Amino acid sequence: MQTINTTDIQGVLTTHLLQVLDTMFSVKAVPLGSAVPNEEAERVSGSVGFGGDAIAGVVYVHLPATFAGVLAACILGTEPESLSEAEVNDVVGEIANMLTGGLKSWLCDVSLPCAVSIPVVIRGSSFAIESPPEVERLRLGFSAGVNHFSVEVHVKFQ
Amino acid sequence: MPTKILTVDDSRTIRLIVTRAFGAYDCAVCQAGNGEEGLAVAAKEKPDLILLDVTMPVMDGVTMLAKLKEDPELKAIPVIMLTAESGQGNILQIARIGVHDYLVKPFKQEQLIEKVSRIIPLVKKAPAISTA
Repeated sequence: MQTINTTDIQGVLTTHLLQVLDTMFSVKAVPLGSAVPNEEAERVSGSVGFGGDAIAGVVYVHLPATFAGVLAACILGTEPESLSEAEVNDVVGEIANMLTGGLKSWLCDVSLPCAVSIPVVIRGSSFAIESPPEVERLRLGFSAGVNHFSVEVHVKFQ
Repeated sequence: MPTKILTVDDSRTIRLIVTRAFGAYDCAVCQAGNGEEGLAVAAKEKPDLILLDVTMPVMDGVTMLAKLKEDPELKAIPVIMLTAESGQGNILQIARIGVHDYLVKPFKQEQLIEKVSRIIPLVKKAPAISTA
């Protein structure tokens, strides 16, 4: 079994997020490292859990609600105004699913097999996700044009 | 008679993407949101091909595939797994359970069409003729 750390996970998540946005939405995003945007406006957060014998955690994708609507409209071939919250939520959940699927694949390749959960989506403003002290937390900022968003991972090495 | 494709995925987004991808072809796309629904739709519609997600609530794709292979009327239907998980172990597991091919999410529409057309013939719809 290989030893991994949060820097490895940061690299995997960054690569996969850029790939998901480019392939599915034709959106070129730019990683901002640990420069996480202000997230007080309404946002849509998709999350997927992963867990195995040696590692467990949750991946969150936090998108401003307006940008989430634009992405959903892009992939569903319609206008943002015509979409329901449920339709936008489903797209954000699928982004989190693809991102965590990429992480799971990499973990599997470094002999840390794990299973993933189905996506959960929360919507609101000015909320933060807390975790116990033994859980390592990583936040990564991204931009795509004028839109700023983030990916967050909470991970526990068993 | 149009080619029938069944997409089984808990994400409505993926089901819509699949339906749109085959819009230009003489295809009827039916949908199911989990493996249990997928088996019921497969039994009713007898699709020519199934696009199957792995991780789903109620019944996952691996369980649905195993049940499909146990059914004499359904076991010959070709299955392409549509999965977000591409690690070597995951691919080996998928190969062992008898799928024809797999496509890793994220994917381009053209990749989906290419994978499906290797297994079943896809015929483009004739362009509409204007009489005006």
